[in-house]
Amino acid sequence: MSEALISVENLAVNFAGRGRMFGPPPAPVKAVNDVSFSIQPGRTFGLVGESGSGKSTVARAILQLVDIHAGTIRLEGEDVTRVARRDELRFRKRVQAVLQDPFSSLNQVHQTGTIIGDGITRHKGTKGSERDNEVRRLLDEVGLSGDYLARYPYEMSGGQRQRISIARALGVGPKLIIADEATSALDVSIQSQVINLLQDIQKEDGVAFLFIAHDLEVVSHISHDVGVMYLGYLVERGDADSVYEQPAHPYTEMLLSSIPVPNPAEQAVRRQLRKAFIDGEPPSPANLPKGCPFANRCPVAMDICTEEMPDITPAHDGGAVRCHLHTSGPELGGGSVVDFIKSQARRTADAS
Amino acid sequence: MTAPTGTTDNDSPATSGSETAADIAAPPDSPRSRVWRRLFGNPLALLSMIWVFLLVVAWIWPEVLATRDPLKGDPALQDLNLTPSREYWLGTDGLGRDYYSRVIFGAGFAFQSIAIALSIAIGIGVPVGLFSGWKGGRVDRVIMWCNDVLFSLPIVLLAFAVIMILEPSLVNAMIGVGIAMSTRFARLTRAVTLAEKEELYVDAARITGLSSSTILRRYIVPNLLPPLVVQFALISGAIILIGATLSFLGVGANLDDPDWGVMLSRSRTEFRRVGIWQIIPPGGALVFTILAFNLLGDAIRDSIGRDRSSNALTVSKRSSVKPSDRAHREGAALSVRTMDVEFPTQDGKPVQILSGVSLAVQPGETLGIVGESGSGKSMTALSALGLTPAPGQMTRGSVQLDGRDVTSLSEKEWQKIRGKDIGVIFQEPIAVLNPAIKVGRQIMEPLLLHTDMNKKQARERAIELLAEVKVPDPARRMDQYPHEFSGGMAQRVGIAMALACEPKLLIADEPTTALDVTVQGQILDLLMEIQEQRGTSIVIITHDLGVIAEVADRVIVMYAGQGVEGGLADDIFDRPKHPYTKALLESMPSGQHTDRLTVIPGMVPAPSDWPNGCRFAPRCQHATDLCRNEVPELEVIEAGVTIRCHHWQELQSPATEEVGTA
Repeated sequence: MSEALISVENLAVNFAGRGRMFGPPPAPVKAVNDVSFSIQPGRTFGLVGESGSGKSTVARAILQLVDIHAGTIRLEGEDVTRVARRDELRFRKRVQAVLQDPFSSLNQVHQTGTIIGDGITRHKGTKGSERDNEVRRLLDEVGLSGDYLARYPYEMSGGQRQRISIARALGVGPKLIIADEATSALDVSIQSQVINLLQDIQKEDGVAFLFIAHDLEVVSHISHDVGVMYLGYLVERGDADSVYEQPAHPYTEMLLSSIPVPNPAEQAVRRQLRKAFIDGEPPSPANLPKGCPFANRCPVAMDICTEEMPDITPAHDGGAVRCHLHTSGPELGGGSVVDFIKSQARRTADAS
Repeated sequence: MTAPTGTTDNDSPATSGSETAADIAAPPDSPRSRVWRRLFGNPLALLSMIWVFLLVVAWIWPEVLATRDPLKGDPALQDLNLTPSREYWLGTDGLGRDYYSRVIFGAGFAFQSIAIALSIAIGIGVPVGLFSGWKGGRVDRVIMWCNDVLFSLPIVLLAFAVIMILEPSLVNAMIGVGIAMSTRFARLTRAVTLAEKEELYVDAARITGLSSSTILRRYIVPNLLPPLVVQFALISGAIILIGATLSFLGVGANLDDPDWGVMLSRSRTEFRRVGIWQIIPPGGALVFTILAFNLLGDAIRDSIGRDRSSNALTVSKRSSVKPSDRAHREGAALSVRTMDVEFPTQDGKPVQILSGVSLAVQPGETLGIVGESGSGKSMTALSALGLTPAPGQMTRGSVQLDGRDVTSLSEKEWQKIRGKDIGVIFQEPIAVLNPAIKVGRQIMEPLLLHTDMNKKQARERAIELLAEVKVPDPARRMDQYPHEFSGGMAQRVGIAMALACEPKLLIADEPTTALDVTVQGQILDLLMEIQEQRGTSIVIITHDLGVIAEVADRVIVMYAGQGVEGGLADDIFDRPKHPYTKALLESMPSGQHTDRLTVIPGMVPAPSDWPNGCRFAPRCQHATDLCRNEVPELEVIEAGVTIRCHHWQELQSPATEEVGTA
């Protein structure tokens, strides 16, 4: 394997509970636990999970926006877990982000020229008409005409605003762009435009992406490698095709069978699979259970699952999974869990 | 800042459920110009502005307005002209000085007070507040603690303290007032800074690598200005009052100065001779000035706040609705025929946001209405339920509910139907529930309203309903408040409320959009189960074609205020006829990361820019001159199967289909 552009090792982020006037401070909420992954230059790593899974917190940790409790983040081999002030500019130049809400991530009081240009001035010192030309070039790259230079965010649609955010990130010349739910707020027809744009940019500039979303279909479409998060844990990681076609963690399978697809026949199959899962909601991150956090919704949970937190074991080719099924019980050894869930579901159906 | 209007918000599904009148009808408008428009539209604010303008003139060029020297009197006249006369408009004071001119010159003193006190207050308060709010944590707590101690001292006391240390004069008094007022600006600034710091665009600026000082200067201060201007106006009034008080007490302006407070003080000596007359001009000037500043402050605050009128869901009355020329579907639970809905605009030309929308749902059937934001899908449902938000109007069409014509029912008659015969499920379950009322009580509400159950029966029925929507431990959950429910559980409660009176028709507007995908599956399963058990008809509105594939029997695809294609779900997904449906299906990513997504170029146009011919023509790869010039009619192929496209038949043939997907 070539040297990773960024590697995250055993990352943990805690949020302190709100301080109380009397009594001891509440236990911290463990938002991210023991998360490890790496991204090669010019590749896309997709991070998928539902709300409360900690996927955005991982992004914010890399971006130095939250305090890191434990773990190491390396960028091109250099430790960037806690970037010192004097190194911050050098770090920001290499890591940029496109954030979720295309409306609130742009300041309403500035025109596009300023929004995109501020970063260029900061990092390259370019000013005046030279800077405007650079902004025009970036606008062109994200598919907007030069007229947009003098527009305010409120004069643009969500898709256009998201293109501005992308241009702002590109202006700095980063090696990694973190896209945190960057397409989630967009309509289908606009979402596909933005996804194609991101792929074009990668092809041209060789920039790597950390693409974070709740929609596994979108994530596996755009990503080379995928990580699935549940309640702060990375429960499965592997190349996109393997995770999508041979999920090794029951939660990944649940997520896949929950996404409705625009195809009634296939949807009926997914719906049948979905029925195997137990109606229930994830436990609160403030009060995680002792064993596997997915045990209470897992159709194939064993006794050990409620007792012990599973370790990370190898899965797919070079991937990893955090599930007892691979080391005890059926000992799936990193393979797909789909058939096992199906056979178990059939057995329960026969028994009843 | 408020949500944008008009064209700017067309492609975010999150807002599709709340398309309000202003969002749809108003032309694109900058927040700044809207503030000015509202400010000048308010007569009190306009009067206040005129008054303040006159004061400013009196302050800068008092000679223009004054008729005589305010300091030089004619002792010979002193007893003759105490009351108004032709020569002395407001009379003279006891020393024979022209009273009118003195009042005019008084404006200068008032503004001098404002200038000194405000520049000190803002000069200290804003930086302190910025620093405190930006730093946060312990620094913030200590600074704010000190600030609050200072804040609790009476302003006049601080002014006296400064006068004692230095010497009595209006300037010194105003220094004290400025220091006291700085605490108010510090608090305000800190509050704004703390809030802005959490904004996504501040994160974005930090990610870009901008320094703290740049972010404060360029990103936070501009957003601080509007609330600061409001405070500016309100505090100016207070400063004038305090200045006048101090002058009245003899510790402010000099005894000879034409200051309003001094004049009030002096008028006491003249009281025996002319009664209260001499109090009126300076007193009036003070009252009107303070009033003007306060009114102006309120008006500015109101005009930068959110537009209330566009936010509330006021239902428009139905006046003249042109009847539809299409026959209703036989035996339909709900049937809507060629419905037009219009919104008036500022330039007087109404904008049509629904054009000829028809739909029908049979008993026990699920109809899906699918479209992107701006397609009018939510408006269709609202208007069918008699809930067209004002000032919108249904101008054409016909609505039948279970065979009964309900097109022009009054709001009162509708209220008997909604909640009883029709259950409605909304996008944001938590937002629909009242946070202060126990959940059980809210489920009982429709039962007590629409049936003759007593409280005990209603409670029992509510527990049954909660059990039916699979809320675990329903009896205990009855006595909990909405915040104790997760999103998925709250939506179950929403469904229980909609089901309370056993309606034959359920309308669900994006019922799972706000939920996580694994919870979405549970909710959709629940809806399907309810339908199976009760034979309820369901209309489900969504932007997600997957949800449609999951639950709908029939589908209507909407684009730009029109139904473009309708039919059985299986057919529409297998063999979409309309180029829009086809393109929409192809543009959805489906796991395989190798192939490029098909893209529909451009975006949904705003209602005011809808093209003349086919509304999809500018984005359609098959569009011809016919499409660009002539509106395609909705063609009924068979009952419930419709298409609005000039070329659908040619596009169905295999040869063109290949071109279409290439």
